[in-house]
Amino acid sequence: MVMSPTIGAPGLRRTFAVTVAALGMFAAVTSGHAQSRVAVGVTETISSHNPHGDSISMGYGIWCQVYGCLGTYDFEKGDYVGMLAERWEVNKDNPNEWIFHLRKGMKRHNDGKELTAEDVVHSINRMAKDPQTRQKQNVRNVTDVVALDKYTVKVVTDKPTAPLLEYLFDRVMITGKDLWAKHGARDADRKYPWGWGPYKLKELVIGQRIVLEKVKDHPDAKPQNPDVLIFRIMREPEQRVTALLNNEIQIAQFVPPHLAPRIEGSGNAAIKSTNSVELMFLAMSPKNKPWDNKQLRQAVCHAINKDAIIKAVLQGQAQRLDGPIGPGQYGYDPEATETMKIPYDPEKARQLVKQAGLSGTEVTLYTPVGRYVNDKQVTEAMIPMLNAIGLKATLATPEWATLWADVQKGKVPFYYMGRGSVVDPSVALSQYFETGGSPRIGISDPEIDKHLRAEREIFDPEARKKELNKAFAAIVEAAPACFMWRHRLLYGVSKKIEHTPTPSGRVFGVDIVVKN
Amino acid sequence: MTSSTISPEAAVAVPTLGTERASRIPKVLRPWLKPKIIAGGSIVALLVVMGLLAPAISPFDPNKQNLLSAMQAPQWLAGPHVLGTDHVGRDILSRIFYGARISLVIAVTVVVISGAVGVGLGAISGYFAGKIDFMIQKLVEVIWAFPPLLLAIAIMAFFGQGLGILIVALVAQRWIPYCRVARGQALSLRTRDFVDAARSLGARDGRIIVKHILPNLMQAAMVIGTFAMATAIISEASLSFLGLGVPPHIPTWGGMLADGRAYISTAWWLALFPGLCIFFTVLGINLLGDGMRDIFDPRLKRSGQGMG
Repeated sequence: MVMSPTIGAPGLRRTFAVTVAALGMFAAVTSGHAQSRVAVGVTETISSHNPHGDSISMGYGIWCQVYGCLGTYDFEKGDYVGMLAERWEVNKDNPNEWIFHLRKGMKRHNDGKELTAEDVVHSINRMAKDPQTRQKQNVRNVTDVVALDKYTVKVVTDKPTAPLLEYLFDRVMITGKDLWAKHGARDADRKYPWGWGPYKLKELVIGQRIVLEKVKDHPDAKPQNPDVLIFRIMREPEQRVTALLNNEIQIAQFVPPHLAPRIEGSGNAAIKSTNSVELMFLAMSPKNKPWDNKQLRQAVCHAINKDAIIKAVLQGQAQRLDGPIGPGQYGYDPEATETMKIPYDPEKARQLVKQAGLSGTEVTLYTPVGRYVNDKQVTEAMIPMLNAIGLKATLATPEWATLWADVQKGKVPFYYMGRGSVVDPSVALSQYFETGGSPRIGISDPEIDKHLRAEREIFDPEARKKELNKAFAAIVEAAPACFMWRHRLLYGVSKKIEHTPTPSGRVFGVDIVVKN
Repeated sequence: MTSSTISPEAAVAVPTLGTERASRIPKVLRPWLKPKIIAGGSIVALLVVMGLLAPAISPFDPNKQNLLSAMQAPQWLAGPHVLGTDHVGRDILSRIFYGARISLVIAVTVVVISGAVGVGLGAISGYFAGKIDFMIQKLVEVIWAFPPLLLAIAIMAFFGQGLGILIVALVAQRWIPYCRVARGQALSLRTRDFVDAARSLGARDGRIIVKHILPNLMQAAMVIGTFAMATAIISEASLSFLGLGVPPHIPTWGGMLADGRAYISTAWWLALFPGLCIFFTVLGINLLGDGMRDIFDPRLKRSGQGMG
């Protein structure tokens, strides 16, 4: 007799019992650790582990919620709000002195060390002296930083600096002085990225993803905020939209207008929009020929038909700029802006090119692809407009990392780009147009310098706005850039979460609510 | 009893044609009248015609924009834009005609240059053998170690966009197959009697290579060349798709495909037509290359299926 290879009754019972036990354990484990997770499809990446090693709008938002920063601008309140700083004031007797009072009892991720004024002093000094820093211009005016006591920091500037909060607030990331001293810069950033923000850094894969994990006992973190927040780099708009509709991501950044109906019609996601505070412009670096010629720069500004591009290529989802800034940004004055308006006038542009003796000059316009809404498409539309005024224009589309690195070094003469997070324009204008600012454009114009210096020293809001408008007019006249538009930002948001996009484009985990 | 017999040679050489018809066709042409050669050749001929006559047959300037008529769907024969317009109002059909020109220029130039370099170096390597062969083959191995597209991307990223740079980037590795095949054949040819005879008559090495070795490498090079054309077109399309091909103002099928991907769910015609062009062109060139290989392959010749 041949025995069949079956399991006997006791064996069956044992197998069944083991299976049930395993399933029970699995269920217990998974229910105990169920995490809410929100993924955001974004177009840019952080290119450094050093929180001051890059100058990317998205980076400020991410590092602010990991390391923590002194404060940020609240678009709902229309004012600056503290994050690690509780309050601040300017010394009435000496406007060069600012006092920042830190929140007490803020515990660092992992080791629970309390935030102190020494950490803030270290971070501001680091921002100025770190060899990798891309934020040096933000502390250019700071001459001294002192810890007055455990929770109070004094910042001294060389001259009265009214927009100092814009320079420091969400630009200075507060890194631990002790970690820096113990492990050195490289290891402190890579192995011990511990901070005082509501999320801690779990993973940073440059060019691919940034994974943050909620600090559950952080005073700003609420139970309904996502436990895990993932930023996935997805440059293709179709990729972001498809991922959103497949629930791979829950927020799709910068949805092009032509894809909005697809999201609205899906039933599981919706479009939410906001006016951006990112200034889109054509930069013309006077350091490079032929852009040292002011008439040529002015001609380019007359040559671009912004209204036609906004209507046809951006499908109306942008707001035309007639000066460096637009409505809602600090210092905007519609009457003053009207006087700066550069009309679309190809005939005048052609004459300016002719007067400059530059007819037939070959110029190359550089543009990123997929970094901004329809960036390649809008620059393609500009090429025939430039050719129509007597130039021989071609378009170049280098890979973003290469283009961005070259722009930061001042190596790109003519390019289309945006400057994000412009609430008070002082910092952005100084960065791009003041002598000694970043080399991205490299203009040096005494008239612009005079007004930018002057506006920084005025604390009276009305007087400062007037001076700012003089700076705007000087910039428009010198034309190192043609200001194009501000996008109306469209975000695809899953109906499984609540999220209201901000004009700065930053996504904070504590502003997201995961629905049950 | 009468029996109608077909000569085995004719039956094998022209299997798709009837005997009477086949007999009217010159013997030298018969191997070329295979369906895949006819189909492939027709597609390639169409590509050549499109490329050469692009300025005459294109209804619009391929770069002329009209923002007011952007994103128009194909109108077929009912309107001026037969295959529609793109995101800045350029005519798709005209850009496809001009794109054929670029594809053709790139494919032919890359094949000719890489063929000349590869066959030349292969012949030298195989003929001289020894240290020269060793050095050339080490160079081949080093370059062959790079993934082809990655090498091209690196070159384009370093030197920037341009038609000339693109051709250099594509040639950078495409000469290798020619070199390896040519070297193998040259190693065999260098010991043949006719080479010894030339040498004994006082011919120098250079003359022997040019007059006796290279002509014997041409058939293999032609077969490799047809397949290389297809890969060159695909590589150009891939690089243009990645934004690293020729500058954006030059219409190419790869570039059109890349532009179209942003609208793939809302304006299908932007990506579909250039995609089809790439598909059929590569198919045609491969069919032609396959047919040519059948003709020139000595193993097939021996079995009676080749040119004989």
